Amino acid sequence: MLSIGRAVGIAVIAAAVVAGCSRKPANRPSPSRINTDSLLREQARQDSISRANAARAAAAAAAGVAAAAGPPTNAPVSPSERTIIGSTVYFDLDESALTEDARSALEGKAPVLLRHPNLRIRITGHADAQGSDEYNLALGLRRAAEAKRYLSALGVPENRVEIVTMGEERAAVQGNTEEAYALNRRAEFEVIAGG
Amino acid sequence: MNQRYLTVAAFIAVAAAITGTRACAQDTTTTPPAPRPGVRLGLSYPSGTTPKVLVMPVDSTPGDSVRAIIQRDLDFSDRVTPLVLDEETLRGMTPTNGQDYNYSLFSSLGVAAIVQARPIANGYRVALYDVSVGKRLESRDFRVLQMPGNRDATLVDSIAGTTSRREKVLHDSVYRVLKRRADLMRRPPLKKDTRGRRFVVRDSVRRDSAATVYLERQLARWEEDRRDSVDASITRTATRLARQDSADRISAAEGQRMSLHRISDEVERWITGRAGIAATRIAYVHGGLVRVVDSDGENDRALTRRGLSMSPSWHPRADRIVYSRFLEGGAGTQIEEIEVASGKSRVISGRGLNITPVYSHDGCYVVYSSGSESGTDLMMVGVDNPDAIQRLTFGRGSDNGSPTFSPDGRQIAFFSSRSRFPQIYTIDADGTNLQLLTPFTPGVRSYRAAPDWSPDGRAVAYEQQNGDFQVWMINIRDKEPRRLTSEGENEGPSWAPDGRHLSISSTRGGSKQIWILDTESGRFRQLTRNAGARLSSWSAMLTPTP
Repeated sequence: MLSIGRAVGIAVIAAAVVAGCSRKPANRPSPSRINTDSLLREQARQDSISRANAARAAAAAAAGVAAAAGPPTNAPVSPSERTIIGSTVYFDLDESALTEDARSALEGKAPVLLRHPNLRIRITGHADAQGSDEYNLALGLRRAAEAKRYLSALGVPENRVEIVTMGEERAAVQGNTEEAYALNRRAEFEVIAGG
Repeated sequence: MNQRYLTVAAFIAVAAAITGTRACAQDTTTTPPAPRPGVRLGLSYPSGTTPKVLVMPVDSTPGDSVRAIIQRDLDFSDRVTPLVLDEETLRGMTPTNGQDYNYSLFSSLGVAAIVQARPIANGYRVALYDVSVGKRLESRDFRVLQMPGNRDATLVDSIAGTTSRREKVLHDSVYRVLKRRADLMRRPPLKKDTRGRRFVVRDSVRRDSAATVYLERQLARWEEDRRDSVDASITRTATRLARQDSADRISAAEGQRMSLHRISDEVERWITGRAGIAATRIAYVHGGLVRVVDSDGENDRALTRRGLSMSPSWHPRADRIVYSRFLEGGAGTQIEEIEVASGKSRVISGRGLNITPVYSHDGCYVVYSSGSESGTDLMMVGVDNPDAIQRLTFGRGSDNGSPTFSPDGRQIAFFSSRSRFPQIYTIDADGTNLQLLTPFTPGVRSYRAAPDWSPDGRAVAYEQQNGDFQVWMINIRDKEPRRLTSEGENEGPSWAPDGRHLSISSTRGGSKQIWILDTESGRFRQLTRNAGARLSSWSAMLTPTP
């Protein structure tokens, strides 16, 4: 006859075995999971903050631009105005956000555009040779769009500015140096009508 | 609210499109299902090794090239090791009629299998011998395209013959017209005198000679004019036919090589149980042109003729390629499709920023990336219905591009910069169920782009920046990333149909070229000889032309 103690012992062992089988194997270090939603929300928040800041800065600059422009004129675009319009704007690595220099360059272009209401321009966004040729096309467009957005915040009507991208396909400077890359991350401006 | 509305609209549009698939599915030119491989006893060799295979010399011209092509294909497969012995030795080892191979001799050389091709009418009889068992394992007749004859020599003569017959008829009729005019000149004219009476001028000798001179001169002038234009016409026609001839020969040569590659692929199936990938092509971009090259690096040629094109991607039937092309005058880029055999192209998308197109797994749709001032997002368009465009991603101003379908067509992987630096995400084919595929540490710069989903569905290859750019792959199931390259810069991976080899643009040899990587052994081989080659796309298996 089995002692009660022994029977209980066997039962406990059996239960432990069953539990052991049903329990998942020891936790292996699983690849780190990232909560995409919270990341995207955070990114959207950051974007909206920087957009709001940019809008405030643009509003402040817009008054100065309007004053600098003066009344609209039918006079031909002067060589110096043409140089201002045609000057290239540069960007940081993998960035479409406008730098301080880029903003002041655009604040120089806007009065010329406001003074000559028939002037239409095309902005071509470019990228350096680093990274995916295909992603760089999209990046170039984002740079051109950012420049256009700032011009329109400064009062230049949207329908007077076209944007295109050449990605990394048309380097301004050949070579695989940081200097060459910096000169190739750019937006170029050309007059397409009214000049 | 607006977002939800758009999602619903997209879903409805996609649902409508899926219903519309039938029209595309009715296309009778779709490939027939591949024959199911039957049960068979394969070559026995230790697993995890690559068996040594001997390709015997082939008796015919250009038999040596036949042997060379098959031998090289087997080498490039990375699944077997062709044993290279000089031809004299091998001819001595070839049994004469009715006799068997000296298997023990081959066995002592470590040979596991012997491939023997013998020319027959219209092709080759190919047999595989298992050395360890000492008998023939497989044998099959393969049709190989014959080269057309050269008609250059007789070409100009035959055109000239036809032309001279035609010219004689023309000459006769011109002569008749001029003769009639000359006869009129010979007729004595009537004139009136001062009183109004008519009289006949009798000066027949002068009139006769004038008419004769007229006839001769006019005819001579006509003949001269005609000769110049006839010569020009013969030259033109001869040139046109010669060009057609050479195009025919090129396509026949390509077809002949492809049918030999198919032999290699089947021999590989006999040996390893899995068909090879020699009968494939790789598309890539060089100098702005879309080019195609056979899997062994031969027949490298440009498909597009001018302009700047990017991102070629094969149709699942491997007979056409979709790509994006820059338009003149800053008008942006558009999606176009080109037939490989004919070189005929047509426009698929509108103008603007339209880039990185791919066909859906059934070839009925093209998914591409379309840019505007408010970001770059994935769009889906019916190949035969370019007006029905559905938006698949809503990146809120971010960049979304380089789509790649899972082999079952249910999911799309793509890059997105929605979390600042581009990462690889997946969505369902209707645009729902967004998932991050490549884990990353927020704030740390880890750029990932150019994804390509493997044909077996197991993994996605992509490029990643760790200082420089290297190719990685990530397993779909456990999300375990694995680095595949380290030498030079390596970008833009594209899977072969075997889900094992990748075409990659790499600077490992100095200039940027397309290289082939065997992801199992790590072996690299250079495919192209065009500095600056990039953006490669590996085709599906090429089906034989009917």
